[in-house]
Amino acid sequence: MTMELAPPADGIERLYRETREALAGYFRRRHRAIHVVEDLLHETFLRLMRRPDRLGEARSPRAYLFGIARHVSAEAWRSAEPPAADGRVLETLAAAEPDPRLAAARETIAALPDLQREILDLRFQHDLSYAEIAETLGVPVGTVRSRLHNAMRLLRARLAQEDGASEGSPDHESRSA
Amino acid sequence: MNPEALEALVVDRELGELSPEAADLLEAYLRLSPEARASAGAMAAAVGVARATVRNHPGLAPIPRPGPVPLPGWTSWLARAAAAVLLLGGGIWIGRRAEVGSAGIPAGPAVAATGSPAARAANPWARYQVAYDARRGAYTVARHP
Repeated sequence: MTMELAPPADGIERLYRETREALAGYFRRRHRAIHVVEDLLHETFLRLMRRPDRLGEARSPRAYLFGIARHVSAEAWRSAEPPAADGRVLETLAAAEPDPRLAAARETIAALPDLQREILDLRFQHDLSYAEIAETLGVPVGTVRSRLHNAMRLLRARLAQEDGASEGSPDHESRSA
Repeated sequence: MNPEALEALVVDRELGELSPEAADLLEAYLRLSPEARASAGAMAAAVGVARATVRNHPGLAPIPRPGPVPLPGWTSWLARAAAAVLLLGGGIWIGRRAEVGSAGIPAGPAVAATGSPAARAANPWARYQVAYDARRGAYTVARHP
């Protein structure tokens, strides 16, 4: 496979060094296989190199890279290769949650629409700001803010419900006595 | 302040998205209202639980949807047949062109062997062989097999 690219913008290698771990973490959470993560990371930077001028136009280079990474990840899934095909699984899903509050939180978040879960992931796992999330997902900042607030409201209500249930439980009563 | 506005401000504060001035005003308001303070505490706790949950459960990150829905039966077979005909025709054409044009043309540069995983991780281009063509002002990239 060969292709032509525009000359590289200054500092792309520095950007690679600065964002490599964050982007690798992003791909690991979605693909969970070492060789796939590395390929996707390099594919992300290759795409960046095709249009380095766009990097200069981006308000946040980091958010712009996450935006590319998101497309690269989606395309990798479309190629229908099963994740961790070589058996080198990096992470496994946690077993049953011992803390009922965390279990309730997990259920609540799992039931959210994809966009909302993606916003939570970019914020809490990858530490992107509202503005960076908006740029990554191509949505207005107001949308990011309102979806996040809405998710937190739902979660808070669910946690309050959980706390109410545990306060009324025999276990809680025996502990309080 | 209505409860929704208060919750939104608390979430923004917990996520570092509130300006210092707004954070000071919020703090002053909470000092005056114990009820609001309790509500803000519950919301701040919810943000903490959300953070812990997202970090502990990578499976909660949405997986991009797989490709478009496949075409229905007969349409799919028709598309495959058309693709097979195109591939066959293209192959014959390329083969004939190669036979005509191969005499006297030197072989292109060989693609270098893939580096070690550590070397590949060290820079973004390690999986690719990059050569700069000054005449055209562009890079040519070949991906290692």
